Amino acid sequence: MNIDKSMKVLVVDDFSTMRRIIRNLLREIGFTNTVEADDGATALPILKAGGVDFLITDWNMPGMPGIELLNAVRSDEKLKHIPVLMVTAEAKRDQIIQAAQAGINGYIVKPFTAATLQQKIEKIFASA
Amino acid sequence: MDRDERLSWARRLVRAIEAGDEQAEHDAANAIARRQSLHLHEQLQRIAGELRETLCNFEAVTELARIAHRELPDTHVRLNQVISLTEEAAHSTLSAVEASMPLADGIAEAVERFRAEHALPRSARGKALGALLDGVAASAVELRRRLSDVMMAQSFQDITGQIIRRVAGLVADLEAVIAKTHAGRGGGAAHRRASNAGEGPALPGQDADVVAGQEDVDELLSELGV
Repeated sequence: MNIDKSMKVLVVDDFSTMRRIIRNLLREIGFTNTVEADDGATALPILKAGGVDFLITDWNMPGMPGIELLNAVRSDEKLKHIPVLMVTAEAKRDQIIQAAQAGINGYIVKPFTAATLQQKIEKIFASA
Repeated sequence: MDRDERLSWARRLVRAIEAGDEQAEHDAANAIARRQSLHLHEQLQRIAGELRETLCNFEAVTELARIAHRELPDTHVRLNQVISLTEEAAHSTLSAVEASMPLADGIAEAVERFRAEHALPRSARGKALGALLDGVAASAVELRRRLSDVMMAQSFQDITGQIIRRVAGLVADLEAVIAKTHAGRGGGAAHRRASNAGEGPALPGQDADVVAGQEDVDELLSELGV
């Protein structure tokens, strides 16, 4: 697996606990260049400022939900190439289909394991 | 008592008066009076029933309004307090885990370094030391794994927090509806969740069309070509 571990990862979740857990897991896998946002509305300016290589986002957040952030990313010429991994408690089949149609690269349902996160990240960058 | 019966009693009364039969007159008059009072009694009972119902409704609405004004905002605050407290606790745990993980890593690395720098003698003492180092290294790895489990377990705060937030939202909606009903303006529509806002964690056996776990998600996604 040849992933550039220095890539900048944006972690978007409204719960600070979950952001911290995901950042810890990323650090264990080797990704140390991480930034955080607590919903889509705060994530977009960070994305637009440039330099983010990978986006991990929750779905259910006050303000702008993750699915709308995904849509915004995919409809922005400068951002649409960024791989997006959804890490969420949303478990309805319709929602997963909606996310797939919106152009998600991976979907993890909470609660998840460290192994699942690593596996999905490897899958995303293996196919990239 | 129908019309014929009433006429019959009236005729009996007239005849009794004409005949001067006081007993018969008394009986007929009584029969008519009883009928009147029976009717009145029924009406009174009905009015009492309606009054009771109205009072009960009024009491129920007043009680609901009291709950809405006093207890419901409190519930909202309490639920938010649960979120804050669990968040605080989860962060304390995470801090402890983050501080402990490098210690476990350090122990494993120290053992490795020692082994690399010192060839252990083949003596009994050397063997014992080797076994001790193996044990310490294995424990350090196991400790690291357990710490990782403790860290992942803190994700309960996100899941329960989402559920509590949803209930808190419901309580706020309920409060608004009751306040409007009590004000006599009729129940207003509570604010609806935006269609894309998400559903929150699924309830086992309650929510329909929900995936059973990550394997289901993976299967569904591969069907969709992701």
